[in-house]
Amino acid sequence: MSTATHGSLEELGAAVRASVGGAAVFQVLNTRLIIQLGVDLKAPTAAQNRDAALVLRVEEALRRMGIKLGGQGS
Amino acid sequence: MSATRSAFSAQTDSAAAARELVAGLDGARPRAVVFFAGVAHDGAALGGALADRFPGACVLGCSTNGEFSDGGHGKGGAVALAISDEHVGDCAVALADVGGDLDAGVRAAAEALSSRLGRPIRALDPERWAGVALLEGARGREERINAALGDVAPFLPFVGGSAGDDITFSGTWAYADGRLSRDGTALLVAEMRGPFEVFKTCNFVPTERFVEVTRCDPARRLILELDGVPAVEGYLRAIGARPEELGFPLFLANPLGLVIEGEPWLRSVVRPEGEALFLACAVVEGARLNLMRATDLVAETRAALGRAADRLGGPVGGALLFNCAYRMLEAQIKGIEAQYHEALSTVVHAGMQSNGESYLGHINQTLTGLVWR
Repeated sequence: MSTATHGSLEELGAAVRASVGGAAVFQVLNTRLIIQLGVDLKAPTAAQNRDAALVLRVEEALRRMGIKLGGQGS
Repeated sequence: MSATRSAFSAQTDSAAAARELVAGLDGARPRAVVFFAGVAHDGAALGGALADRFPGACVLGCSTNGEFSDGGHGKGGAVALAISDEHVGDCAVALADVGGDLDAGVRAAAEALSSRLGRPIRALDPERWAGVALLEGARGREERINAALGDVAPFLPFVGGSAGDDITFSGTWAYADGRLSRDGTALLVAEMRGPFEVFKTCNFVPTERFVEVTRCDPARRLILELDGVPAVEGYLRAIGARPEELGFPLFLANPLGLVIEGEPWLRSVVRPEGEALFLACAVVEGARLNLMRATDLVAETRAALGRAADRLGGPVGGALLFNCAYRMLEAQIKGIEAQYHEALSTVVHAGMQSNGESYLGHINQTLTGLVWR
């Protein structure tokens, strides 16, 4: 069973920002995530932020989009 | 004279409509031609005639709940928009088969687009490239199609709409790449040579009040509970209506809005199903949906086009538009269809009355599109 590689949505959001660069492309990705998963990486709710299952779902969605995290670019 | 040309035909005979569209676009030198037609039309005949007349152009189209352009509007006829080489450089079309493995169908179409352009579409610069999607619109799969498009090209927003079928949800068609599909989504990727933007507007603004989706079934587009009570009860309580008022006029006037960066992404209620609400768009558990306040349909549309012109730095030279059938019905019910189309006709355009709209996801009760200077 997979486990999330980021401890929180805030941490994941920072990794995505670092990976994709510009604010406009981050906003496009974030809008997709809000619509698909109800997760706003810019302002995760307290209840969502450390929900490991939710963090994993967002990581999986980003993986499907081919977003590579950890400074690998996209 | 605008380098974008539109054509309108009220003909219900496809051969006659094709002749009128071709004649209406006479003199155009398009890189892309988009057409919309009543669902009873032979889409392959219309697309084939346009492709024969403009052999160098990317041709795509789909069925509608009604068609409109600056040359006229109606239902059961056809419209077309020719976008010239002044506005579009490289472009490619593909037809995604979404009837089987939807993700595989979209991936295959993306590979075809990438192959034709000689570069992967996921690497295209969204500042210079636009995507248009004419989605299969009768089977409730637009959320999955939009997600699949996001998977193949996360940074390239596709804007578009769900093909129509006179609001019967019995079957739509889409045409691209010389083929017609009754279970497909037509895709266009185009390099824009001047200022352009995705256009999105609705005649509702968010209020401060909201409801939370506490239980739902997104695959069936059902909200089961709002604020911890059965959805119908929660909706009526939130908007201050009585059970006997439940019905289309109430739903039309009271969509719910997912608000992102201050902008509403509308979710329209279609009907109650027992104590649940069936929506025209899926929502997810935990979503906060704002109650919305209606504004004037015609004035807001006119203002939105004006704001687009401001952002583009000059008059809108052309527009490809996707207008929700709910907006069409609102205009009809209020007797303002003529004024509405007059507002749109301040720019050269063609569009369809859609079964839903798309931009990064599936939306309702919205006017989306691609506009350029």
